[in-house]
Amino acid sequence: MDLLGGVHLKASRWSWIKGGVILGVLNTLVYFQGQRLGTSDTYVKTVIKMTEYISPNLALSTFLTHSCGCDTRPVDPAILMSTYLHVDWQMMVVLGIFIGTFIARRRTGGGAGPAIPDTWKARFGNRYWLRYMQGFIGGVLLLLGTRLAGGCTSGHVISGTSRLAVSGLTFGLAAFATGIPTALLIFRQRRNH
Amino acid sequence: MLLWGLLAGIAFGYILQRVGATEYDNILKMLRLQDLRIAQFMFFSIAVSLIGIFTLHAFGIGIITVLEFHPGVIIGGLIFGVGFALAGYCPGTIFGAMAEGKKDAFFVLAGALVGTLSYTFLHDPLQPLIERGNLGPLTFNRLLGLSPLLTALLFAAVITAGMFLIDKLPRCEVCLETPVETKNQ
Repeated sequence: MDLLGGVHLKASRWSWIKGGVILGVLNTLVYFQGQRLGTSDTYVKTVIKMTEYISPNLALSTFLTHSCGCDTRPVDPAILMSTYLHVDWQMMVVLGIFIGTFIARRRTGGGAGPAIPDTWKARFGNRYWLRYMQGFIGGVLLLLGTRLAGGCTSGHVISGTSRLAVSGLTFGLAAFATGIPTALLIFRQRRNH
Repeated sequence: MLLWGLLAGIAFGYILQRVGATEYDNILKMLRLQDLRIAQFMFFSIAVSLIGIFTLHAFGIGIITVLEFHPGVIIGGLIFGVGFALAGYCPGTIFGAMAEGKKDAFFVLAGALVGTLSYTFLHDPLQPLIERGNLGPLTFNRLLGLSPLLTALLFAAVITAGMFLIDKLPRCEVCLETPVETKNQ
């Protein structure tokens, strides 16, 4: 249907089984390397770097509140922060996600992505700025929740649950508990037709 | 060392794009319970990882470290869920969606950076709550009192069975079509 419809000429997506097996193997290899997949620390580092020039104090308090914020080692926090900001494994993963997604889209003839998503456009029309505002607010809540929880989909749900962490599965279930009603509310049927 | 991180990231991004996880439409179809393939992919990858990681662990390879369980995990997850439904991307797939040229992802990234910074101000008032209910790095094997490998295999089996059962559920065929085709119906 997808391929014959004329709308979607790009290669069909992988089945969840194929994707699941490959990501599972990758996740195991990452464990073997002594690492874990995750992305949210990179946001903290980026914000520290961006605010460092405006207010060094603000940058420092962002550093001191990262993860659990329970680091009370008797070392100058400024020195700890500069160590923290070194290019690390996770930053390379984030860069890799960008490159990998780009390669995948190019290889399968996806072309440049749409300015706003198809289903959103079908429901709300060409109101670009409404979608951008919605995305912005969504982004704020995403990282606010992530920092409060100490991880996101990759760090908590994928890496955490695959290590039998109670925190990982709990975070995932909590996210679905509000994500599902919110999504249903956004796309609820219009009654005035 | 860093090169392995880059390669792992490239593979991760490639997989996410090929299963359609960098697509707002697919995330929202999952959250609207119309097409659960992204959730099936995610949980099945966890099942495969559980077998892989805990088999290696049983042979004495690697150290398993888990994140702490505290009230912030639940509250943060609840906030994250709302953001997930609004944005249609997660912190990792934002970068992928940007690489695909999806303009809305750039606004999600801007919001994400603001969200990261805003937590800096919320940390102090929330800290007592997080510390009081902190149960530490809690794991299911400790909770159930079973060996790590046995718990992992049990979880992998239950998750796998659950994900294949979803495929047996009646499908909403209209939902699986592209919006371009269904718009005029």
